[in-house]
Amino acid sequence: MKARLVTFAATLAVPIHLALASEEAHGHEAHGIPWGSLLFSAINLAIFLWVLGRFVMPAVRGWVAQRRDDVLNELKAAAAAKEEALRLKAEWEARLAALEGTMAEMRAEAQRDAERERERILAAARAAADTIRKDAERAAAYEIRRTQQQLRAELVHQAVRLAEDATRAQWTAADQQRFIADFLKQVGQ
Amino acid sequence: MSAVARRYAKALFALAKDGNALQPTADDLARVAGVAADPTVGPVLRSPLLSPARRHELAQTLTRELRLSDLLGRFLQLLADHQRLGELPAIADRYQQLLDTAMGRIRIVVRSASPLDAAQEAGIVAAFAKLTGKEVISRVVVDTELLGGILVEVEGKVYDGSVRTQLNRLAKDLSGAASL
Repeated sequence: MKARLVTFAATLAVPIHLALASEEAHGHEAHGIPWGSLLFSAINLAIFLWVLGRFVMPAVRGWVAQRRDDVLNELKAAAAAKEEALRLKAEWEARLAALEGTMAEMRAEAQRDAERERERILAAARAAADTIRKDAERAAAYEIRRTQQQLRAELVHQAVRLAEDATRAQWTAADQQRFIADFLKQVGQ
Repeated sequence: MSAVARRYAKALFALAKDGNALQPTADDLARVAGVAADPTVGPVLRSPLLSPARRHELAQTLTRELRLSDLLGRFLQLLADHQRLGELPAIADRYQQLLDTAMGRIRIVVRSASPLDAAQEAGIVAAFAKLTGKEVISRVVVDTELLGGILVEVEGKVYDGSVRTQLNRLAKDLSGAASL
């Protein structure tokens, strides 16, 4: 459509231009105002302006409007993105702040756990040491008793052996007679 | 003592009693038991490798050489038949116990640290005769391990008057007191 209009305008302008050019050629000889050329230029300008206003300006206006809409949309999107970014930032700052608190609480809990574990280990170590000490005391007491019993048994054994030796060395017929008499007395009772 | 020996002794005792030959049978049995207890004869009599004919021959030889009674000769043949010749010492012991019981007497073993004189032995016999109410036949064994005093064994019961036992008792008392 646009192409046909341009062709129409050009077709209309060419004869006018040729007519005016012929007049101009005669005009050089008259030396006055070139009304024909001026009119032609004015008509030409009017046609140009009309073509411009009829076909070019709407497209330009549409493009400008589109561009404006695009810019506005982009600005809105940017604003929304900024708002979202700010919201996220605030959210993450809040989370960060909460995280600090949580971390502090976790550190405190871990410290309390470590303290409890330390106390437990110390208590277990104390109990083990106490058990070892008591075992050692029992073992020592047992060893002392055993040694005492061994010594006493040895003493008794030596005493009996000495008594045996003395009896073998000093036993007389009179002793035997007395033993038999006592024995028979006991049997008779 | 085995149940077999007790059964054979009881049977022999009954036969001897019927034949009114309790004491002669005991004497014969003691002699043949003495031979059977010999370390060289005993294993032969107990040997399971001995043939029946050989066992009978041994019984006949013992009867002939020891001049045993007819009753004891037949008894040895019976033991040979049943391969019980090795039980002779135990049978003799049991027979003697049965005879002692029948005769109202007991046997005691007197262990003494030193030899006993006749008076001491008589005193012991009299004491145990009074204690048991039976005739007492004693056998004295010298045992120096007793150190002093005597120990009397009566039918499985022990009357202990030895210095050894008193010392042992003293040692036990001392050990018990020491461990308190």
